[in-house]
Parts: sequence; structure tokens; C-alpha cells
Amino acid sequence: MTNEIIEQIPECVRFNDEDAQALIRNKDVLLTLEDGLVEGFYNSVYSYSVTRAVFTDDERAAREQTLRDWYRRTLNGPFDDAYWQWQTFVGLVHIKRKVNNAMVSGMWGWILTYLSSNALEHLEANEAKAVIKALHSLQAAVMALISESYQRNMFVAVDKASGIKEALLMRLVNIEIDGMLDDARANGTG
Amino acid sequence: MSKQDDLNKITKELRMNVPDISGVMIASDEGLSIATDFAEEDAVRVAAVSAAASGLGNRISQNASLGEPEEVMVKGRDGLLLIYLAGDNSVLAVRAPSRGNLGLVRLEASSAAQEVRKVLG
Repeated sequence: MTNEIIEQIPECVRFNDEDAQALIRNKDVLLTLEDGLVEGFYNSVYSYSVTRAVFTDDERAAREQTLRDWYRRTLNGPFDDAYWQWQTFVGLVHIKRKVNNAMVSGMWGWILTYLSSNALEHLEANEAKAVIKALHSLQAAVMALISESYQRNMFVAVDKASGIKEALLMRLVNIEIDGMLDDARANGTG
Repeated sequence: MSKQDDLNKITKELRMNVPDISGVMIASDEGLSIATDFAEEDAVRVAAVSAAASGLGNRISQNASLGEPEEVMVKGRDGLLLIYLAGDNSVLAVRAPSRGNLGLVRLEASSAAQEVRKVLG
């Protein structure tokens, strides 16, 4: 599933070795941002009732450690199959934890803003540019894996539970979508 | 004679053998209509939900230890829909009135499903 998802991203914009090297080359500076990243990330998540509701009262330390582990593993590389498969697995965990893709996308935006502004402040301009580009490509790849695996694992779970295969489910969905599109057009909203 | 001709023949014969039946649908397990005499505007949805009901019936049979699934029946006030596995990747659905000769409908529909199985494998 992981490779299938990655291959949907146009090759010319896919996270590549140049991106990996930019992150690894600048990891000493980027690692100094870890505390701020983790604290800021979870302050944001815990300050909003909708995302706060995902977590129990006693798990913040554990979740912070998970983010630390991901950040360190990312900056240390390698970006091998195991790394990307881990990101795909996150999609599965998110279904269970009711972390939806809007939450993930929003918090990725926060990560990019935080790391990009600090990269510009702490790195030489060309290196900062390379790191920011790498972070955006990484975000695209990880979001693709998390969101697509979220959806595909949903299909697999529906099949296992109900016997309704993905192709049939998509057919049922498309039949209804056609009706919804017709309604939207009739209402002048499509 | 093509497979499509064979399936159309099974559909017609079923309707002739059991006049109570008011619709026959042979659909793939992905919900595509293969042969039917349901009205065109109903066929797309009937094919999809028949395949879905068959899949769900199969899971219910497994989880409730009912053995190999033979039939799924949906009974409404105005009629019923009987759905049968008809090969590895297809289903047969028939619509009949709820007060008709259900025994005959079941017998003939089940037999027709076996015929479809022979055609589609």
C-alpha cells in the first residue's frame, strides 16, 4: 500500500534524496528546535476543544515522546521503506484514535510554519531554502500516506466487517455522489 | 450463443416459469448489472445493493456460524427481494410480491442461480 500511495505523487515533486540530504545535513540545528516543536504542537492541540477531545488526561507525555521519536528519526534518516511504512501505519492508528485528516493537515501546517521560520532564522539562506523545500515535500508525502492509508484501511475494515468490497463500496458511493452532484447543479451550487 | 445470451435466456425463463416474479437481476459482486429486466432507472441501484446485501449476508453467515450462505431475503410491505450467490463473482436477485407463491419463487430462483453459476463460473 505504501509504495502504491507514494507512486501517486508526481515524481518531479516527490520527496527525494536531495530533500533527505538537506534535512540530515542540517539536523544539528533542526534538533535544537525539538523542544519548541513538541511543546508548541501539543499546546496547540490541547488548547482547542475538538483536538483536545482526542486525548485522555494522562497521555500528553507519551504523545510528546511519540512526536520526539518521529522528529529524531526523520532528521537522522534513512528514508527507507520502513520509514514510509511507519507513516502509513499512522493512518491506521488515527482511525482508531479518531484523529481525522483535517486535524493532521492543520497540525502539519503548524509544523511547517514553526520549522520554516526557525530555519530562516538559524540557517544560511540557501540551506534554509533547501530545508523548507524538503519539509514541504516531506509533508506532502506523509500527508498522502496518512490520509490515503486512513481511507484505504477504512475500505479494508468495511470489507472485513460487512463483506462489501472496495470496488462495490466505491460503486455505491459513486451512485450517491452522482445524485448529490445533480442536486448541487440544480440548486446552482455546482 | 454468447454468455450474455445465456444469461438473458435464464432471466426470461425465470420470469416465464414464475409469473409472480416482477424483476430479475444478475449482477457482478462489484455491483454492476450483467443481465436484468429491471427498469433501467432502477437497475443501477438494484445491482449495487444486491451485491452489497449478498456480501453482508455472507459475513453474517460466517460470524453467526450459519454455514454456507444460500439466500438473503429482504421483505417489505409491498414485496420482497431474494438474493442468491450465482458463481464466485456474481449474484442473482429476484423481486416478488410478499403474498405470492414464495416456495415456487425460491425453488426456481435457486435453480436459476445454479444456471448462472454454470455460465459465469
